Amino acid sequence: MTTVDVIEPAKPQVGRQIFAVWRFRHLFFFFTRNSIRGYYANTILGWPWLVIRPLLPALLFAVLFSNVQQFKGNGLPYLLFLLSGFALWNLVGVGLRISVRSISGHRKFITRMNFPHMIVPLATIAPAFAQFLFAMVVMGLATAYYWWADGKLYIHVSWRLLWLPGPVLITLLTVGGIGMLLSGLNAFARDVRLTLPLFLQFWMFVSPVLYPLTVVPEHALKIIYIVNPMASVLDTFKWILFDIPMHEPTFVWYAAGMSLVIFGIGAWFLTRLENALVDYL
Amino acid sequence: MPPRPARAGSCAVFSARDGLPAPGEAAKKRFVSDPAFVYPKGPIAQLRTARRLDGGHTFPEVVKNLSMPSELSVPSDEPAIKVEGLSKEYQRKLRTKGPTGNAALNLLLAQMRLPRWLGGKKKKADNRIVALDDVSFEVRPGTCLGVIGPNGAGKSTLLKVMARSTPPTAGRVTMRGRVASLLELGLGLRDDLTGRENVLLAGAMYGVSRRFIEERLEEIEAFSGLGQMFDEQVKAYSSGMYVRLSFALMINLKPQILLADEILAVGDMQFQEQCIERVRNDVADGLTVLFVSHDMAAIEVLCDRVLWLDKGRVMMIGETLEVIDAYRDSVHGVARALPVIKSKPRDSVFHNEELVIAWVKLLSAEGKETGHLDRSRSSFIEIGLEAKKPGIRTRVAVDFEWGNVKVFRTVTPIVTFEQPGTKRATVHLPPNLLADIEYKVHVKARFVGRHTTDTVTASDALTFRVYDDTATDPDSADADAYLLEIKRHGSHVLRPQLDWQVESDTLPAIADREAKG
Repeated sequence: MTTVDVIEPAKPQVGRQIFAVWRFRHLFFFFTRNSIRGYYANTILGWPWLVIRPLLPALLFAVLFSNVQQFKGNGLPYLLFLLSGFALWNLVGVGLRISVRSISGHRKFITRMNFPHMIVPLATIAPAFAQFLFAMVVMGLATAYYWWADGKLYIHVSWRLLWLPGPVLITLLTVGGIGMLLSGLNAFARDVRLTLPLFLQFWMFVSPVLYPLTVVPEHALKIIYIVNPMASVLDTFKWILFDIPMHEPTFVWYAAGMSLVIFGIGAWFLTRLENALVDYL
Repeated sequence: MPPRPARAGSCAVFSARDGLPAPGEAAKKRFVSDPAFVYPKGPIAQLRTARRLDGGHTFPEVVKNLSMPSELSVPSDEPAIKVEGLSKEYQRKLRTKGPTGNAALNLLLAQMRLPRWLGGKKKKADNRIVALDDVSFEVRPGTCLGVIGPNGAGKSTLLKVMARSTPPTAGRVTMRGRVASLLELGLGLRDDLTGRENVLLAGAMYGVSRRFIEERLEEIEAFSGLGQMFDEQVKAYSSGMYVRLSFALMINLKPQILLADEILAVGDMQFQEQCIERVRNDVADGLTVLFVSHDMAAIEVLCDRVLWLDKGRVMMIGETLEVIDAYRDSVHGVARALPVIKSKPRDSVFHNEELVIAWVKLLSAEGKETGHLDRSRSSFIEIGLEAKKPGIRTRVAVDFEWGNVKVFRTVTPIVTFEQPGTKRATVHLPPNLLADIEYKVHVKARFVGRHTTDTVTASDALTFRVYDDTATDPDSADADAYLLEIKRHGSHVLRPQLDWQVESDTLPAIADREAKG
């Protein structure tokens, strides 16, 4: 039994590259594990960071905006609103922050090993996802606290909860797509990495993380929904969890479609860069 | 392996048979039709090929756990590596001409292959660097092919293309068997993990199951020779330890093809020897190796054949010694068919005020000065000693070296100069003593004068090569060539012809007979 290996000049195709990710799934998991290990390596606290990271900003903003009545008009404790919002939003924020420098950071692997390079930005989102899961646990604990304190269970328990992976998946696709695009660009121009925090800050302010969409005037709402698919994803996420009413439910499908398009563009971009990354990184 | 053509000394004979041009030209044209690459014809050659390739014990056992795709078995006389018209071009990175003023952006836009109306532009030929230019060769299974050439010749690019880390621009490489590459040592080793943890993790990186690695963990630990350091964090390792760990890991992944780039450069002597030994054993078991190195002694020991690259082109491929000689000659800027004596000139500086080593010469059996020997014939080393003052007594030691190996030393009797003058000391080198390698000769004279004692040294006084011309008989059948080949091996430092007695086993052994008187 002998394996036969033929090497020829190749112009990689997007579809084949995506299938190749499956063939090289062992590397995907390798990078996943590596980036999670690396993310909390050399910390003194270790795992408590997973709890502190989502809890602290939420507490901060909860205190900061405790007097703004418009933000808590939906009968939900503001802290729960923030925790759930930050949980999903950090998947975007942290995910992009890591993946933007993933390709330049894994230079050694990319120039020395053969594998579809889109694995790198995709796999390095893993710490963000881990953080998301822990944020959900923290939110669960907060819900339990309010159940004990207010005597009311805010989580809307129904079959609807089974839809929860939906918005998460849409977010992952979006982050993956943008991550592929930005990490590829960042390999050539480090300006991308410097611009990203500003861009993320702006993006968060036009997403319903700190405030519910009820405070947004009606005419601006549609623009936000169209420009920012994450708005309706966050909306849907909270609708599933807490049964907060949604403004325009149909925009979720738009967001889902957009996430696929973004992912496709990212994958196409990195496929085009496949050869260039090896030779010029 | 088919019968090989002989070293440079005999290639005229061989090429005459094949109707090839004279030796000088043959060297240049060898890569076009390499006479060594004939598929086995004779019955014994076929038998050898079959023996080498059949069964489980010669080829490394096929590992089921590997997640790499396995195909149906192929005819065993297929080459393990076949490279056809391989080219690799790089685009010059700093292009200021382009749709934008920025080099990085231009490069990015060029890579996007956008239509012209979107800022896309046709690549221009003058923006390219050719790293590999139409390279073609074949390597048979169970061969170690050395790759030599000056810096920037394309050696590493060739290996990178073969390891699939960069795609070729044109051409094709076909490889049969699992490939392991040792291009970047320490790739994927995590600083904050121990050696053992890294080895276990590497399985995930190379797509090998954890069980496969665990089964070989002990072997890897033993081979690496790291001892307690194996359980220390890798960041505490020295660069040599890095190499030990990576090499131990890769060679124990049991590849069928190994691509190695300068692996021996960092390890210590003991590890180098261990690596060479291991690679040689595995090659005998059917491993195919591509070995890039600037260490000619290592190439001579390890490789059966050598590929010489220069400026991305194949200059020559063939017998190890032949190619190395040609490469050396090209480096030293000497155009010649055979290496000529490299002795120091007569008025050399190996002297002090009392004694001068005036010359060191290698003489053929006919007494002519020469730079190469036929190992089946006598030769002489002649040393000229000149005393400038009266009353000098001296002994001269002549050291023969191969690479860094001191092969032997021979010492003159005491030479006495009553008066200033010149004497000639000659020693006879018997036939069938030296091996067919390149020797270096160092001469050292220690003397006692009236007022002083001192040593005069002529290091590197002579470099000469010994050829074995007896092995190739153009009319011999494959069978005889096969039998003759057992004598020929480039890596022994001496090959004395000793007195063998062969007789039928019914008689008592010689030792017994002698004991009885």
